[in-house]
Amino acid sequence: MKKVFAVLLVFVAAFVFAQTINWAFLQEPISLNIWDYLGPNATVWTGYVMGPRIAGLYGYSDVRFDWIPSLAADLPELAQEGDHWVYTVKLRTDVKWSDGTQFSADDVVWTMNTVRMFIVDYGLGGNWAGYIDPDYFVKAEKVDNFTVRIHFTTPSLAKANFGALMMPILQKKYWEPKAEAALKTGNPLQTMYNYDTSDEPILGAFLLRKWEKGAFIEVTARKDYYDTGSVLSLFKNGAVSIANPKTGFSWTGYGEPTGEKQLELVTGPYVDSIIYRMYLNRAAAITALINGDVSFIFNSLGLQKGEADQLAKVANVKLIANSVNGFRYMCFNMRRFPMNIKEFRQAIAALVDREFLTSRVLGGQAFPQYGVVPNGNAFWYNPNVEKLSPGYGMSSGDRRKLAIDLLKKAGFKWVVEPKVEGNNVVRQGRGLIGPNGQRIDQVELLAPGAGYDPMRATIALYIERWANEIGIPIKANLVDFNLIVQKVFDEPFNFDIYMLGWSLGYYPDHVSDFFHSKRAGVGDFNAAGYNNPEFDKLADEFLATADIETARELSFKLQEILAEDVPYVVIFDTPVTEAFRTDQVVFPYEKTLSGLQYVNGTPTLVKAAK
Amino acid sequence: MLKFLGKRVFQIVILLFIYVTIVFWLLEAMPGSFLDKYLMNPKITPEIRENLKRQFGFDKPVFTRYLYYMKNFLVLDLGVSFSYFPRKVTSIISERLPRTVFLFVTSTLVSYAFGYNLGKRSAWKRGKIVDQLTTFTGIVFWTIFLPLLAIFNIWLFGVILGILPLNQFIEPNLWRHVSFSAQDVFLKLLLNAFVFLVVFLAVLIISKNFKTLIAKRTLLYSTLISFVFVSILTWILSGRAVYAWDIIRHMVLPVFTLTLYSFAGSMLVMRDTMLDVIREDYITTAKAKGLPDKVVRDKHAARNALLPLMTNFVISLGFTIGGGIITETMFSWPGLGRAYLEALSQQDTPLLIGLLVFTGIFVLIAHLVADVLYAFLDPRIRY
Repeated sequence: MKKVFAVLLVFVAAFVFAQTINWAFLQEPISLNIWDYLGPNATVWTGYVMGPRIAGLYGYSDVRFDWIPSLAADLPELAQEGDHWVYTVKLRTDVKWSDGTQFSADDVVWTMNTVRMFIVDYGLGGNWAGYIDPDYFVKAEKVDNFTVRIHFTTPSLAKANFGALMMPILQKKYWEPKAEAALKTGNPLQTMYNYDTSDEPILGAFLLRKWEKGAFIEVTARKDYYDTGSVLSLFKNGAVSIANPKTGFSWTGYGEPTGEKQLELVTGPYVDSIIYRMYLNRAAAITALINGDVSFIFNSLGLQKGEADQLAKVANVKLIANSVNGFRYMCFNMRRFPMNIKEFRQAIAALVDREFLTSRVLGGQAFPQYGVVPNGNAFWYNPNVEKLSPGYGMSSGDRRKLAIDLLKKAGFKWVVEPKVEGNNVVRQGRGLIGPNGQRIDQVELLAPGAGYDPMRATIALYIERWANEIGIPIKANLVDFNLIVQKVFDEPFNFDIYMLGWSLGYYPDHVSDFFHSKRAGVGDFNAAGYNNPEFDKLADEFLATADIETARELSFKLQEILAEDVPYVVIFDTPVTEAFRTDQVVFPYEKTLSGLQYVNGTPTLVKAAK
Repeated sequence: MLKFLGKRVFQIVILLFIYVTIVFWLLEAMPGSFLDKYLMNPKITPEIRENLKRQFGFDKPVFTRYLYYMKNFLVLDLGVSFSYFPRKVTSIISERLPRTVFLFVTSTLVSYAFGYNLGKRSAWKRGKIVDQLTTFTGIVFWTIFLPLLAIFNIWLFGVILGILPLNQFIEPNLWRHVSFSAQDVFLKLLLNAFVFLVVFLAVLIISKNFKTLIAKRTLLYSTLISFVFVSILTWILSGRAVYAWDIIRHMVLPVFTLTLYSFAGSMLVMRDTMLDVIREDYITTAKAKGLPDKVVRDKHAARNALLPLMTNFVISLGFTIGGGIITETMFSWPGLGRAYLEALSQQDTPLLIGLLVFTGIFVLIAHLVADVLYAFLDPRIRY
């Protein structure tokens, strides 16, 4: 009887003291099937729920985004074997799936080889292709239960370390029969996407408990999560250490873990469950936050100024702002005259006064960006890029004079030459004539309309005005976003200049994707048609290097070349502003690139407020 | 009558095919496509994008795609959604339909009942303060910006007074431990409402055979009260009463808002028709016979003025299937209206066409029902 009573007491206590936190979503995830999520249906909302469920061999540390072991026991060892470059990875022995099965090399090998097979044989797309590039990844093989060898055609940080080695690992026992059954059907991929995976064993910390379509998703913390109690220490000297006193696992890297610590985090989870509530509009989610129904709002675009102002007045609600990993930019079609002339592009870049635009025109709601690697991505950002931007730090008058000088230097002439005195254009330029004697009648700048992005629309009109003042006949056309995409990517480069934006990953291989000459085909990402053999050579080296410091140096050089050649004029981006209830949750940190939602709200670290 | 029905059904089928064709080509004419979202991901190379094009059928010429669509449409296959790939459009519609039907049919019924009552009363008291007040209030709400009214109601009843739930259609904390889904409860609520409607109509027909008004009313009210009692008891015994109540509680605010917003339409139609009817000789005769005002108004005038309102009502019921983008968004009630918005913003052509076609079918059927009802309600109409 006493035993029954004790069990009952524990149960009651668990129920009473169970800590549940509520988070607001503005859209519902589409599918929690990982094949579908990383295939055609990769939405950020699905990612927020899937993130805490999955794990890869390597991951990023919090805040600093150091590349650290997750399921791996150590950093990989790289060696050349014949035509292949082989990454040998030792696996952790203390990791168990949520169904109690031991995590092993079989899972890693099966996942990698199966994904490759689906990509090559059946055209599996979406984000899976970002992990496994069949041009680089050859195969994975098991050495023993806790060691795998992963073969690549060339060593590559982008394709190996930040690619295949970070992909989510799936359980072989669960997925192998399903994949075999799918391969016997007429459409294996659709069969894989359609599987109900609510009973899927996971490596992450949170199991799906209930998905009430249209209303909420509840996930519950695993009591047997392998990483619970693990201490992550980031040292100011760059070193990182992980120690799990419960399982005995420990790892240190990037130098000696001595001196002052920048951050120390002990992995939870500290809450019993998380409920993601679906609100279909921002006002509803904000009202729910004010009312205390939810403690945090997920919204990749962040809060708008009016919303932030409203929440700033609410007791127990804290606002945080973080820089984002992206930029909004202007791209020149370098296949066309006069955008193919470097000085022409530099002249326009000189006219774009980012500080004026962000502080005066956009009222401080945006921050200036200079290079193709955002300044928030501190490790990879080259701070010299700012100074290399034409017109940096100049007054508006000097910018105009510089633009005119650059055009003259390249051989441009005017029917009526512009004249600048002080900061004013006292005689507007007219009739710009190129170095080849060809009159330039109009240069079209395609930008999204005010309905889609009022900031870009406004900036496009300013650029049109500044350019027209010195006789560059730019005409800003504010059009539908889809029309720009169609003209740039679907039609054969049917544009002069366009303005769009990018959201980026942490590892800056996008620099190669956007500007390597081999990516300049129709529909590919070098829409500018930028072709610089020196850049291509460095970009190839950057992709091929296996050493992070070398990659960083090469990345810096690439950024400098682009700042000089100006295929893009990177202009600005907006910080992401988020809000949470301090009386309900405590986050382990608040300053992090792209905000707390970029790290899925730190589900294994967040605590319920007392 | 049968000949008329056959002719109308034939017209509806032809119209439906023209409608589907127009919808298909209009959507095709939109710039961009669903696959454009992959253009924003540099990891998706042109080769992979070509694979995706094949998976979604974009590798085929648009005319071939149209022919495929029409062929599938003939066997009631609305295709596979792009944004919920690879879910079938019919599965998405069937998931969202109960929520939309339950909310919008309820609000349409309440709104028309309210409009009918106010319309006949204000016409009867034409020029008096009651008439002026109801007309003014109705027009104010009718012309108000719906999202503003929704936000105001949420703020007033949800935040300030705290008597109604703010948003969503259920309270997650209540539902997280149960094994059944809200969809089950929605379907049972709809079934309950449908049975109620059948019982109500049956009792109405039976009560016509009774001679005295008291007997008619006794039968009607006692049956309805008994039905409501039995329904509540059944819900309680099934252990799901609290969950059904949770849905109904969450529905109060959107229904209230929609009723406030739209009752003026039916009220003004009823008022105008009543004003015409009360000038008729038979109304003067009824009054001269010494019949009470209420009887003349309700039995002689209002019944004859009901015809245009009934037509409006039936056609409105057809449109309820489409839901409401604004209402569903403002109250976080994910139904078919919200699915429209998602399909449009994602350029999910199969889902969008499927939704439009689905709504179109119901509207066309509603038109047919309205035509048939005309003949029943007004003996002067012959087909």
